[in-house]
Amino acid sequence: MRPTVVPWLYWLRLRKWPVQELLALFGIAVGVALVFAVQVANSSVTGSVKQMVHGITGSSDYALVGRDQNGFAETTITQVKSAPAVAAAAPIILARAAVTGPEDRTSVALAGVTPDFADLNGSLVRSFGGEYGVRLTPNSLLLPESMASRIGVGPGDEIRLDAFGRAQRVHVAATVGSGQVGALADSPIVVGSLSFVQSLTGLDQRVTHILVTPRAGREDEAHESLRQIADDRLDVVPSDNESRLISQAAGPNEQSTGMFAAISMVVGMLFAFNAMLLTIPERRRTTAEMRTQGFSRSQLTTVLVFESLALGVVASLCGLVLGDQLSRHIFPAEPGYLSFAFPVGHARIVSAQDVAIAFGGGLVATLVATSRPLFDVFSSRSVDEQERAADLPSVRVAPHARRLLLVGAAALIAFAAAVLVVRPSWTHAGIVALGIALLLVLPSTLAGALKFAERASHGAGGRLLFVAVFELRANTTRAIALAATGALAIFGSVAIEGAHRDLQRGLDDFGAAYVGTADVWVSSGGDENALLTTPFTVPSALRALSSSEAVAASRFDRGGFVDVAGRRVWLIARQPARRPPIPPGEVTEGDLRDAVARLRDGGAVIASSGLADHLGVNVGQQLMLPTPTGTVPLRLVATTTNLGWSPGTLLLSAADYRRLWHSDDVTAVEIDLNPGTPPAEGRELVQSALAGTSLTAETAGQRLDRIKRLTRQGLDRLSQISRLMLVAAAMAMAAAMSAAVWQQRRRLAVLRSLGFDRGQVWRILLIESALVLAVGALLGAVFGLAGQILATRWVALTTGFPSIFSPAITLAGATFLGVSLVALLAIAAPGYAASRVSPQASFD
Amino acid sequence: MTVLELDNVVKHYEAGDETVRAIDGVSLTVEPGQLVALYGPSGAGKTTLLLLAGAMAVPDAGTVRFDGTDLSGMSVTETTRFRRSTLGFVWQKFNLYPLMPAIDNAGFKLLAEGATRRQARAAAAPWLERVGLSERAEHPPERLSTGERQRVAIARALANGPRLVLADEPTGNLDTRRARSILQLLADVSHQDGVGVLLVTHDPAAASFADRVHTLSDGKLVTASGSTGAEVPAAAQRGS
Repeated sequence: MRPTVVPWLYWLRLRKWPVQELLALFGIAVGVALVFAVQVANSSVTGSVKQMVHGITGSSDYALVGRDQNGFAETTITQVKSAPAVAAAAPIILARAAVTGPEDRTSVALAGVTPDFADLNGSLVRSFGGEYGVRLTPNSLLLPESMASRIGVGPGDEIRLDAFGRAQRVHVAATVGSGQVGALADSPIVVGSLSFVQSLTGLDQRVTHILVTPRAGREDEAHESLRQIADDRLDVVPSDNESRLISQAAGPNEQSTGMFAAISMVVGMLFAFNAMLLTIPERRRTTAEMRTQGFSRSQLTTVLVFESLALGVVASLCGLVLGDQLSRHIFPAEPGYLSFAFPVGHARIVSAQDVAIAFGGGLVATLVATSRPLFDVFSSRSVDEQERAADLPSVRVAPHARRLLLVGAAALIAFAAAVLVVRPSWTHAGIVALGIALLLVLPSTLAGALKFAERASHGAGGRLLFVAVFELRANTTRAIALAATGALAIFGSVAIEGAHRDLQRGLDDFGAAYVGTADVWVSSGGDENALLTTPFTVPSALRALSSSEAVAASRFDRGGFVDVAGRRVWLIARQPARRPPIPPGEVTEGDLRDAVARLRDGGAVIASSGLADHLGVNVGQQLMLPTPTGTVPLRLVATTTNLGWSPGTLLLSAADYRRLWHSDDVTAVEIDLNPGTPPAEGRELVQSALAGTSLTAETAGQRLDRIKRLTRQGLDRLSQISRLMLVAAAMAMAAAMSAAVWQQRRRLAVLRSLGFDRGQVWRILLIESALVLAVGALLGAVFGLAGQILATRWVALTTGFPSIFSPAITLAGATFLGVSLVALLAIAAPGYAASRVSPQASFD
Repeated sequence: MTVLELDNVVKHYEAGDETVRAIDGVSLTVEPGQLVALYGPSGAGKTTLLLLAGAMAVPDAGTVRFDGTDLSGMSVTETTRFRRSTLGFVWQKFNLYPLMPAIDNAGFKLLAEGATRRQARAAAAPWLERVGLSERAEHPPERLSTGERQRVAIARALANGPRLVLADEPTGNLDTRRARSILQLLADVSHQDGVGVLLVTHDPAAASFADRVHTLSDGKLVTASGSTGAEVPAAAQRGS
């Protein structure tokens, strides 16, 4: 067989069945688009940081890093450069800051660098002071073009810079574009001279990092030298440590969104399968005829595989294009909670891996959806038998087969239940099991529903229902496939959205309890400081406020981020108050009252359970905590959820923090107002005491609203996936039902010949569709509720976030009704057109 | 009164650039209680003739009358009602509903008239008995032989008491023995119940069961013969 014959045969088939091929293409494309868009969104968030880090670190291998935001002595660079194994070293301050222009405010990484960076060859900073053609004046900063444009400034303009609780006006020396720094032009970084940034941040003669390039072949020696210089007060890490930390922090979120995008891919595959189902009899007949003509098995396989691959390639490419649009307009990279600890940009980064996963997934899905005729090629049945089998509609799933499927479904449901109770870490496998169980239960459910409908049709007004039941029974496989598409989509949607709401409820609940310990909160402000980790010096006016009539008490909280065992951990050190430092509901092991008492005594720590597991420490054992004064042992007295910060959380007493960090800086001031002082009034009073600073006073309500807004940013992705999947499923079902209705034309013509008028035929089609939709949607909703239990558990385990389970019955009901109605409405028009079929067609 | 009368009927179709005269000036009649067989090779126009008789196609010339009424002037609703109440159809491939009991298949078309399922079953039962399948009333088509399936289809065609039955190759899927039994059944029903039957067939055995046999070739009636087998010139038919 000549190679040109294969595409020609496919072209002939395309001309005969263009609609079905288009439907299959659409289904696969939607699945690919969802997977791709989610992948790009996820990798853009971490990718932007990785890009920026690499732009700074260049060829350096190691970094000497301070254990808090105050950094360490700049003179350390002399020690580092004098190490024999060190080829080059450059000091830098990297600090969290925010820049504000006329049009917007954005959080950034503030980088203070020296000409030493030329030796490291980082693309963002190698030309510092030289090649750009711009010399940075002592009091100016360099901004990336896209950021400058977003906040509405250009070279020579002024911006407001907020860092370490200080607000200052700074000139923009220049902006750098993609022509100079490539994709880094989208990075959220501003660059200035080290001395200038030191003055901006108040870190006089201090740096936060020293980047080191070892001499070739002497990496271990260089590492050992750095370790000795660090002397357990600093960390020696790979220079791309920031990239690793954000990958770890983003991992759980990426896992959960990735899993749900994968469910979308399966729905897309089912959509394609539905469409292919409509052409299977013809394809099987063609295969049988070709065998009769003498085509060998390998030739037939080549033809069939080519057809699948051709469809898969085109569909996947279309999916990538669609996914590209989705990622730009519907799934933009949202920094969300990660911006609290990392300088996450808005750059959209598409990696080869993202493309490969989505494209490959589309190909596999197409091959699976179109594989049915391949079974005939390798079947031992005679050609004649195959031809006859192709002509028979797929009438029923035999009762014994349905029983076997039910047994399989029961086993899978039992497995899912066991996983939930005995092995929660396998919860994602439980979700998959539940999804498969749903499909296995479908044939029996449909058969049962049709039986019930048949009985109901005995009465007056049931005659059209009777006809619809037997129309569906005449092609059970198609009915099952249609119902399965809707069922799986609704299952996924209810499970995902239900889990989302449970997580959000848990976070909101925690947030309300956490911020409810005070009436007014003072902090450096800014969304990037939502966890109150930016240190500042308490103004004297604020201290004086403690003696005012309106103020009952003030508490000075400390904390920040500390890197522990490859995780950027949120460290909380609150001054004792009447209420415990964390809501009791967040404790997973230990007694909170007892634990708080031990914190007060000193030498104790409360850790999130995920972090404790990662460190291999149980309650009662010692946890080694790296601090600026050295690594210290602290007794673990209780464990908690991660309080909404997925890498993990540690709680210390404020006194221990002061002792170990040697710092009087605070990150927040909690103010209790006396009874009778409205919170808004109290807030204004406090804000007036902050005049001349960049500090912000918020009521507890305001702070909670801000936290809710920020947490929703990241979790809303789950809702978006859920909604898109539903839309795709409704469209898929409507399109597949329309095509199926069209394929039914001959049977409809028989009905017309037998005397059924157009209106009756149309109503029969609507009843058929309603039956299929109802079974699929109802089953999907019920399983979705069960799936919600697993999905909530899985997302909570993966992310470590607090969650509060509440069965999403209203959501399930609304989804069931919504999808059913939409699909039914969508099929009304094609059904009407099909009902006008001429009785002549019954003689075709 | 003549049940069906085709008077010099012409029907053509466009096939690409060509105009095909599928029926070219055909005249024939079917009387109550008469079985008329229509022979012809593939492409002769037999099915087109059946479509015209069943008010599923409109002639380009000539008239088709049923009980004296011209069918071409009917609206879609009227033709639907007409088929429902006065016609029965028997197809080569039976067109029965899988999994549906024989008695429900037999009474199926009565549902279109508004009968409940119970009423349809009751109306179909005597016809099922008439075709010799009352003991297999609850059997779905999958559990019936091909001959039995066609009998159910015939019972369905008769269940509404039609004046005319149009049968398109009803023995096409049957072996000789079963084919003869089906033809006998149609002949018996026609003669005993006064139903006109227009039967399109390739089966030579139909001649011995038919009251009149027509041969169609390229859209024209070339021969017509009575049940004795004597040739009756086609031209002589136009006068009756």
